[in-house]
Amino acid sequence: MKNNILLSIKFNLYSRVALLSVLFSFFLLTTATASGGDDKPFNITEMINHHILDAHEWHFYTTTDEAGKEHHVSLPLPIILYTEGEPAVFLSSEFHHAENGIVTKGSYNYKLSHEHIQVVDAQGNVQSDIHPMDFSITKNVTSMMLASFLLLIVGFSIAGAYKKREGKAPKGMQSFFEPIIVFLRDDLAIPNIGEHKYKKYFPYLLTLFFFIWFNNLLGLIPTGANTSGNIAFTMTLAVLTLIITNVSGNKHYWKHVFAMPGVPIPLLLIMIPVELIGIITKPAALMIRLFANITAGHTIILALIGIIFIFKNAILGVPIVPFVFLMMCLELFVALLQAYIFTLLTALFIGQAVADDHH
Amino acid sequence: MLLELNPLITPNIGLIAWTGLIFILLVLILGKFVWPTITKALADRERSIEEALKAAEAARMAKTDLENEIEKIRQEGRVEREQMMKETRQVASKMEEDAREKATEEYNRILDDAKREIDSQKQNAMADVKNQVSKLSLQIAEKLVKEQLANETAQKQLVETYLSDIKVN
Repeated sequence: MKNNILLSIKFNLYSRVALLSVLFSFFLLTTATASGGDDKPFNITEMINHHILDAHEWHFYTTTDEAGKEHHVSLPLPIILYTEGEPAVFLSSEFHHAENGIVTKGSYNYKLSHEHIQVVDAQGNVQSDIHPMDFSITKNVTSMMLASFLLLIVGFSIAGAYKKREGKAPKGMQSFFEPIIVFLRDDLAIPNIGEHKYKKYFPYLLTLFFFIWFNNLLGLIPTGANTSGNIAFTMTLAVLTLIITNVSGNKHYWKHVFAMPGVPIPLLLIMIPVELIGIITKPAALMIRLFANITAGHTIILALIGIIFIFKNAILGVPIVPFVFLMMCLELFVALLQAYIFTLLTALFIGQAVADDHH
Repeated sequence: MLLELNPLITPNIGLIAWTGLIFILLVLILGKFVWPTITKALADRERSIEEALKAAEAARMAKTDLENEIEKIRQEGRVEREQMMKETRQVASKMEEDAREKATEEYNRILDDAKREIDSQKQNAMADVKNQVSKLSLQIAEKLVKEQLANETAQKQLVETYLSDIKVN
């Protein structure tokens, strides 16, 4: 039963992934035929994964010199590790400068393999029994900090505007954000949670909406990070929704979980597990929806751009650039829409948990 | 396991920790300093707009009331004015009539007086004239008699005449 439910949640994701993999295999096939030359073949899967997954440095671009050696231009980011009670902090650029890419800190040697930090011995053999906990300020964390910083600037500036221009009509940035805040209050928080109870949750919902939206938007900037399309990011927010929902749950909410009114006792044996699974699956759906939508958007844009590199033909940019432009416009909308949906569903779940009994 | 095979759906503990920390800090900071200010300002402004609208409505109602009042007063004034005009007209015509009556009376009285005066004057004058005439007649008669009776014949003739008259009777 649990598997069925989990499968149904993943369907959305899987259908997208399936569609994309068909697309990818087509691209890979064409790559094989098109790039028969002496150059290193262009691997679109690697390229897309590189852009979508988190990284320990912020890579901007790569140049190749006359000798055919690649030079990566990237911003090194701090690596923070916690291995068996021993912390280690250093910059990601040390991996590139060190011999064999092995960095020794304290009593452990570290190696970066496909953005995954492993503990190795002096010869470079992976010590699979030791798992370092990676708390590095990765590309996603940096982008998230940037988004939060922007949100703080925007928030304090408009709050200041409300204080300074008390009772007056909104102006500038204030008039851009005011309809959004009013919309979230009148059409999201109040209808779902209720006129009297929404106030307690409204600051959280506002922060959630703007945090997701800002991260979605930052992710759309070329070379940007796919923060809000990372499963860890969406999972954290979904878990917070789960915690808030269940902590605010009143006796009617728990009665619906453990003793659904009007359901015969034998049936409750089935209903209780279903309801308990439902508690988990509702936020899990939130997690997967945001992750899949943002990641899919990035993937489609990268795949379209990738076509040019697969065929190594700049002329292809003529039909592809308008396509990418259209996709970007769509993604701008999706960035707003997904932030709205995540917030809406969080408000809905909270509303269900705090609703008075109306039966 | 599938979850561990694909790095795309393998959540990283570090990113979870950072997301949680950053997001909770944001909720606390924005929830303390930003959102309350904005929601309060919005609610205050909405309230003030509502009050202003109510006040405008009340003012409009008051204005209508006042206009009705003014119209009522004007109507009353018009009625009163007409009433007064009517009364005045009545008084005026009455006064005119009275005056005319009085004048007629006076006229008649003066006329009567005049007539009486004229009559009395006439009587006096007539009496006077009669006196004069009788005096004159006597004088004339005296003269005539003196003249006619100057000779003997005439005196005899007269006596005869008188005698003849007496005979007839």
